[in-house]
Amino acid sequence: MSNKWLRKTLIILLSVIMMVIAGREFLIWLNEKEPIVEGPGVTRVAKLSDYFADLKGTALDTNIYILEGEEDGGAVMVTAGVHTNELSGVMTNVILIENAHVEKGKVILIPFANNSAFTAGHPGEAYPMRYHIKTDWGSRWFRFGDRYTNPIHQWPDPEVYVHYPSGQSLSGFDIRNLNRTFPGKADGTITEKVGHAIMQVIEKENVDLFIDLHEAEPMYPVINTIVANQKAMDIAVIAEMNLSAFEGIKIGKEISPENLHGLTHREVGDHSRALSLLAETCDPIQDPLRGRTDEALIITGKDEFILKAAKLGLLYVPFDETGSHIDVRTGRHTSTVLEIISAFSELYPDKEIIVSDAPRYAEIIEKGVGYFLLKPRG
Amino acid sequence: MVTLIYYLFCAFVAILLLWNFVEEENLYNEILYAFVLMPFILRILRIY
Amino acid sequence: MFLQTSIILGVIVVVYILALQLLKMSPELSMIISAFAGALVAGFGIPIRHIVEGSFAYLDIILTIVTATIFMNILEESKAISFIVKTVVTKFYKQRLVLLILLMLVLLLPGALTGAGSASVLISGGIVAMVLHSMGIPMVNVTAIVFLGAALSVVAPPVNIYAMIICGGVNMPYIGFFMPILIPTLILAIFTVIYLGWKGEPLELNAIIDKLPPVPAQMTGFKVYLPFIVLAILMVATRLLPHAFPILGIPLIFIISSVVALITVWLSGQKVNILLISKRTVKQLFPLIGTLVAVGIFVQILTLTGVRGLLVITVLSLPIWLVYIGLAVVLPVGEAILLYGIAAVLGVPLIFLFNSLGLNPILATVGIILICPLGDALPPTRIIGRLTVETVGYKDSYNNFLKACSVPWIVITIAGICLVIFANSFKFLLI
Repeated sequence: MSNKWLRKTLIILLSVIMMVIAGREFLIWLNEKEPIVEGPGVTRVAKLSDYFADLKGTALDTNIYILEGEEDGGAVMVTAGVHTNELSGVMTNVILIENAHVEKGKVILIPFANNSAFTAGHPGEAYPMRYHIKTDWGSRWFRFGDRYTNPIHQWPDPEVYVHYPSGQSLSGFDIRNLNRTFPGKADGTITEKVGHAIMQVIEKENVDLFIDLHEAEPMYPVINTIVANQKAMDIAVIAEMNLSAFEGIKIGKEISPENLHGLTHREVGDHSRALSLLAETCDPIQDPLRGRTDEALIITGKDEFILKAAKLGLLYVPFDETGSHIDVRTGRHTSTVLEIISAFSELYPDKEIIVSDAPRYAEIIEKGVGYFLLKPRG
Repeated sequence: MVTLIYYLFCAFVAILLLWNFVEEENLYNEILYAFVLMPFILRILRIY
Repeated sequence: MFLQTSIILGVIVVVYILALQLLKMSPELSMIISAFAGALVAGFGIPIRHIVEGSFAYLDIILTIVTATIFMNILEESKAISFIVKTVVTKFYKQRLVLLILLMLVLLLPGALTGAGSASVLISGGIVAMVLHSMGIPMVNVTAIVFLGAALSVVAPPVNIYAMIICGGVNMPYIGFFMPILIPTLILAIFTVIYLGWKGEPLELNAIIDKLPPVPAQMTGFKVYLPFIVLAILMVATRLLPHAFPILGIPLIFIISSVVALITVWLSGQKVNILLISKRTVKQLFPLIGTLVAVGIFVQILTLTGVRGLLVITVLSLPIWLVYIGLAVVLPVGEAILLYGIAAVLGVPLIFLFNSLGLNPILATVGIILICPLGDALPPTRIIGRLTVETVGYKDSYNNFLKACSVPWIVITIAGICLVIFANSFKFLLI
């Protein structure tokens, strides 16, 4: 073999080695799912495809955990992982799945709403693939993903995404953003089908109250807040007051903008009988001015550059040396969910929902998220 | 159907890149090909 | 964190310069090597997964450029571009102003459709330069017109890679850019061609017609324009009737238009080898594809190590007047070093800054991206400058070419800065 061909062979070999090393990690990302323990309160585990068969066998099918009380009451659905890099909602869902009991009514939990978006990162964002939560018995791992459906599950994007049914123009890549594709479309893209499937669950399970959990970067104005569809604004007002009065949680409330389509707080409220709300916490790893992007940042939420931005007055949220720890964010979300359920039960006593054994903000901060995570079998 | 065309086109570009790589004389460009090929190949294999 | 990240940035810069200057590597490979070095110093070892993941950042943009350039190359090969130039020259050879403007439009077209200045230089640069020179315009000015036309074509809609990169980085839709980039680009392009090309001699029609490449007899009229018509219809229709079409995406729209172009070529009795055209296109675009892959890898490592955050917070901390003035220097110089990477590395934090000041982000983006491509004539890369000089056959000194560019360059820069500072006053462009 001449030198030239030897050189070319070596270079191709270099490329193949890089692809094999990275490809192995990508395949793990794509295929391995974190174990979730069905807690004592879980009465049924269903799949999204049970409500919309088109999703059967696809990467976007996902588990639905249902906790039913002995007494009849209202039904609440809590979704997380609509954006898979916003993890405190996932933690809140998992804590409820593994710890909570429902005494009255029904709680429906979807922790990994966009299951495809958990299977890849966002090129350029350098996210870790996983994060680990320490517990008394070891550690639990969870996937960390992107805002968007993995392109290998939905490709290509249009130049401009025209939302169905409103006709509003959005950026092309938002066609893979589940929180821009509600209320979904039965014969649409796979992401639109997930939106449609969630709407089917809402209809078939007679969901009265819908809560979608998110996180936002400190430089984004919609943060540490509850966004409510106009029909659910009274619930947001009561929840905000109670969170502040009883748990010292400062949280904003805002009404869902009428002309901003595709988001859960707008579309679920407009296209179903459920009252819809969305809650946000502060998530430093999403901020473009963050420093080192690693697992520590996911967990502690501490970052010097964001601190500097706080001092320059550029943030929409208080931020200090203590950062925005996963315990704080999860505690906020868990208390917010419980408080919204209480407010709903207060306003609609005939559809009361009573949840017990769910930790609140102070307890989660005191004991840490890991304390509430059960040990998976095997 | 549309998605299939995109995969086929990716494969087409990957083949053309390989063809040009074979004819390339400059060492540094050859090394750059090693990186440029990666997204095309991994996308065709539906790994990323 | 500030000190540690500054050291990482320092290592990246030093390794980049060493690779570029001492080892004479291309800017693309230098970026990749410095990304490896940065990750290593930051304690991430050799993060192969991140390197490979970063290479995906602009895959869809690469497919757009490749399909668009195949489309343009089919039209060039089939002499459709020659036909258009010949038509323009024959009809308007007596009206210098109209002729100059139309030639500039022919120059802008390939870059506007592909997002790549090299497309304008390679596809219409040579032929337009020939006509301009025949109009008595000195070669140095002809070269400047072709370069500046190519630089503005990169900005011109519908495909603007800088805007796409910035939009992706700041999570802003690539919507509403068409008119805000079209109007300033056209005004500046017309100014440029008139300023540099007004003085000269009347065109000798017969002489120039003899010089232009022959156009096959059947390659005329409707057939020439049909691929463009199909392209325009698909682009508009997929927006206006989105639910009546499957999602095509821009690359497939160009593939369909290319098929139509091939059919018109066959109908006009010519033979073109699509495989060879595609191979040539990918070879011609390799520097650009390489740039986009390298920039993706580079940005991924900058983000991983925190250097992106350092750059963002530094830009956000600067006095605003310094930022405005700095645009004139930093953007072209950054472009010359990082090529499209400048949009991700500096464009994104700048838009965050301008947005936080209440400036319209679309217009501020347009301001920034008007200035960036000028840097393609500057060392160390001189990527489009070099290509222009080679394509039009300019033999004089490179500095004289830069001097010829200077007045339009300054005007474009001032226009860009004004679009940023007075972004909110230019809202009427957001049609």
